[in-house]
Formats: sequence, structure tokens, C-alpha cells
Amino acid sequence: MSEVANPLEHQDVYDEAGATVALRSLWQSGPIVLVFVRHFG
Amino acid sequence: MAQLHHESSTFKQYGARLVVVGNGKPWFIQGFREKASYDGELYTDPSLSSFRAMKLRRTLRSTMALSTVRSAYKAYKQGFRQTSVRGDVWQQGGVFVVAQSGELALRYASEYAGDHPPVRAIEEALRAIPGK
Repeated sequence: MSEVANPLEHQDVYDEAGATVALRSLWQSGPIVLVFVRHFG
Repeated sequence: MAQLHHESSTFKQYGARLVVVGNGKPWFIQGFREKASYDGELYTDPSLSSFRAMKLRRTLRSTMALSTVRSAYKAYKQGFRQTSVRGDVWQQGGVFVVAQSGELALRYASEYAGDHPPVRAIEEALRAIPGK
């Protein structure tokens, strides 16, 4: 696996309740396939 | 998105979860979830900060590309319908495989709507993650 710095380490997102979630918390329990979608349409 | 959702069980074989991030307001998440029949992890970033961090495209050209029309037609034929837009209409998406260490095993910025990496490429990236 090539080692690439992750610019998402310090980014936050929101969950359905509007609570802030640190993106880095999402891969700490295992690998993820992270999909950014264009919009909720 | 629909295709990747269908492949979530494939990703699980590699110990990976599918996580989706949109850019509409948080209160649009539930409606999107119902329309897309997606019950997995779903978050949003209306500020687009994470989209910018990953250098995802946000242009009129990528949104109006002929390839976008082709992808939209293909999705329509498969039964997917786009109604109102909840988010940034010019923003394109992308797909990333992130290892538990935080390292990026795959980065793919969509050039137009409906542009995703082949599932095989995602599987290869997951396979290449050491120690999973």
C-alpha cells in the first residue's frame, strides 16, 4: 500500500442529529470506503 | 452511490465499512436515506471543507459534461430518479479507501456525476492494506 498523507485527519462532518463527528474517528475501528456524494438529490 | 451501496457486502469481506458523506444540511439526511434505500453510515459537510481538502472538483464544466448526461440516463434506466437537489449542485464527489492507520489506500476524484472508480480497484486497495 502506498503511504499517502490524509488531509481528512482534521476534518469534521455532521450526523443526522446535527452533532459534529471527527472524520478520523470513522476509520479508527477498521478500514473504510469513504464516498463523497455530490448532493442529497 | 447506488452501485457502491450494492457492493457494501463485498467491502465487508475485507473488513471495511462503507461511509457516505454528502453536503446538504443535516436535516436532509433522512430523506436521502429513504430515497436511496441506504441504511448505512451517512454524514454531511455543508461547509464543503472536507471536499476541498480532498481537492474534489466543483465546476460548471464537470457538472454539465456530456458524460454527466450519459450517467444520468443510465441511472434513470436503472430506476433512479433525481428530484430536488439538497446540497451544492456544482460539487462533484469522490471515493477514498482509508486504512485504520489513517493512510489513504485509494483516492479517486470524480470528473463528472456518476463517475466512480471500478469496484475492482477498491477491492485491490482494500487487499493491499497490511494487517487488516
